[in-house]
Amino acid sequence: MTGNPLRSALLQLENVHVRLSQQLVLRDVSLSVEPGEILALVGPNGSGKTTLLRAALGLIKPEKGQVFVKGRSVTTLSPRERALIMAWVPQQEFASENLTVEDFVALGRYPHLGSYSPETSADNEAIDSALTETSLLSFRERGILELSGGERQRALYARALAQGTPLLLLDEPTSHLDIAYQLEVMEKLSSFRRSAPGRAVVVSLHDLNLACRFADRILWLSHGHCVTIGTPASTVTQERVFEVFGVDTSVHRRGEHVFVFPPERRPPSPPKEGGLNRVHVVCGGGSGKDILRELVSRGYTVTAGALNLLDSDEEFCQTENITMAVEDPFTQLSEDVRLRHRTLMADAEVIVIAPFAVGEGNLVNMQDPLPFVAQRPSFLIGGSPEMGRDFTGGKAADAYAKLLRAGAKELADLTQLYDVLASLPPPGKQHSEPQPEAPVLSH
Amino acid sequence: MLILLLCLLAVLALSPLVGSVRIPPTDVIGIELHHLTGGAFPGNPCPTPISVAGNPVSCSSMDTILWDNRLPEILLALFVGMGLAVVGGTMQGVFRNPLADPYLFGISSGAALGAAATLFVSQMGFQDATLYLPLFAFLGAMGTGSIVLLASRSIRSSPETLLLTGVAIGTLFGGMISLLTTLRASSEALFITFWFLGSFTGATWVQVGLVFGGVAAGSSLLMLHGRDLNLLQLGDETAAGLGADVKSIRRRLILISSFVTALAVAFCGIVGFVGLISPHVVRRLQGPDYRMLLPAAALFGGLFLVLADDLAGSILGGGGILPVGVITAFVGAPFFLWILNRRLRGRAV
Repeated sequence: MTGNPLRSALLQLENVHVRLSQQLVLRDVSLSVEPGEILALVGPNGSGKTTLLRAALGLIKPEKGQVFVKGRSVTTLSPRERALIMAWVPQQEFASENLTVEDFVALGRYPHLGSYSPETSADNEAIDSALTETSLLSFRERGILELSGGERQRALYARALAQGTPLLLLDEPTSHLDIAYQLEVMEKLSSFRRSAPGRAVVVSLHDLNLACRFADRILWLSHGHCVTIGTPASTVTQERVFEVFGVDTSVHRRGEHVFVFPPERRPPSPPKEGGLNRVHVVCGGGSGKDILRELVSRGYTVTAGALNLLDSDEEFCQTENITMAVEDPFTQLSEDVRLRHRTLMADAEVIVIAPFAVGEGNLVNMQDPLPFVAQRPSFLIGGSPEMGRDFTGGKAADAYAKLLRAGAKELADLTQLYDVLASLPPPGKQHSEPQPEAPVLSH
Repeated sequence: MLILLLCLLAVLALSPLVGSVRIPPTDVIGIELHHLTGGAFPGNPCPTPISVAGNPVSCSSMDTILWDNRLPEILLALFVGMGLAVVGGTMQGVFRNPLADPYLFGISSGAALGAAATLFVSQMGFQDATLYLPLFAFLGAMGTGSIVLLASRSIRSSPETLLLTGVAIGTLFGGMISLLTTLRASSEALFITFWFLGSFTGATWVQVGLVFGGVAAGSSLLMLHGRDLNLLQLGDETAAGLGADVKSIRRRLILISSFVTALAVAFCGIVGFVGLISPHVVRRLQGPDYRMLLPAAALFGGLFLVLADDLAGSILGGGGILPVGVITAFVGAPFFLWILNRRLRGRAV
């Protein structure tokens, strides 16, 4: 059982599968922890971080696969031998007696003492230095049940330090701490693994930025399987964060450091529950920017078209990730792009036509919406092109008039647009009778 | 702890004075010294003669009352109290349950069932039932201990379900004991009834010796597990993470607890609530560290039962004896309700 090639690894998992109450919680996870490193486990809640740590500690038995600690299978180690190599800091713990902080931390010496040996001066020194390291000296006579969440977390950490093991496994050690203590804990972990050769830390973290900042390697867990494992610089990308956490973020790099920013705050759903959501904006030359920004911030799904590359509306759509039909810079809109534009309009529930300047190059933007405006609420903003934005000798104004006749509504300004959009009924109910305010009781 | 020890010594010194026949302190000391020195000193053990209802009581009668009845009774109460208190504290630690007590978990009933079974053993040709009584009581206690242990593992049990399991087992065993006593002659049935109430009356020096030996050994072993018990308070997983073999520690502690309980029950019947009350009082006095809690609980338990026995022996007057279980129940039941109430209000006990 000891035939393991990677003897330098402190901890090694080989194709570990764990099943908990019928559910496969870990699938085929392999990793090795080398001396001197901090390995961070990241992943959403329920992705298996805690299970992975518990399996590594030998607290749960894998269904398949093996765990090696310093080259020996964890199943061949006695609980005491394991506890002399690995210390475990659970996320929380429920003590049933109000032990003093000192007695609580002293239990970290259990693997050195067993049930019966009396504590020696070495044990007392380890306890004192753990209390000092965690600034808990003044709390030593306090009951652990009287501590705040953060203080209790420090006591858990102190107990693990008193254990004096080369390997620390921590489950969300920063979850109950304010930002200052979060950084302090991570700095402590960082100095822990440097303070003596052969030390390492495995830590599950909620905060990607803490992982990026302090971990040497990051293991990404999703639905119980390891998506990838590697340095923050090589594994943290916008796509990976989306793949693992299902959330849009922006990832920035500065030198060796990687930062992950949350998406801009936006309402999760359109103003009106079940109302119209997909809005297409025909624009160009910066005429659509304000409309687009406002619609996005109000939670609508927005598309735009048809635009030339380098157009200011186009640039805005790029940064906001708005889907659009795009043509090469400074050229007439081609058949291909017009086709794409038509599909976007066909998909939309609402069409908004911004007050863009119309030339020969983009005249089709005023003509192409015609078949679509009749079938869905459509709005023309800012009046006819005749009023100073028709550079086509009246063709644009003609097209505008046709859109009006087809059923598009003219709106004087943008605030009107937002009010109308918010009050639109859900699709399919546009012609139904208004519902009575309260249900009438039948006889 | 020191105060507890002084209280206990004071009560032990004063208890021989209590009883239906009032023996003066000088005579108590005289008789005690007489026995301890093997009859060499003093020349006259009873310097102060007494009389009951006008009839003088001879020195040898006083000697019999004191040395053969009263002292064994006091010492038996002391050791049983100590043993049950340590077992109670241990059970509360093992089950992480402030309501645990050898009596409440039905282990005492198991011991009693085993003891009742000896009635049949003596019928089957074994001459001295008192020799087999502790053995059978021990087996009964052990059996119940394992049932409770199994229940605590198989069900993801709350303290309350465990308690109910113990109550159910206790009730079942009570029924079985009733069945056994009904099948046997009435004199033996009376003996069993006495058993249920718990009493130290009729204690002998042999019993004192056996109980002392068992309690001293068992309690010392349990006290050595103070660190283990502290560790168990953090939950099984943490304890295992810190290198403890939780299952084996738990088995060991329950085994020793069953042994001590069995001895206590075998000679005194079921004396409830000592094991519940003592650790709680001590916990409030000096904190929950089991390394200190168990020894202190032993002192308190001994003190409590000796006092309860003094009270039981003197409360009726005219030679009437109240079973000591009545006293402990009167004190213990309200205390139990108080703990329940605190638990329901979500306060740490």
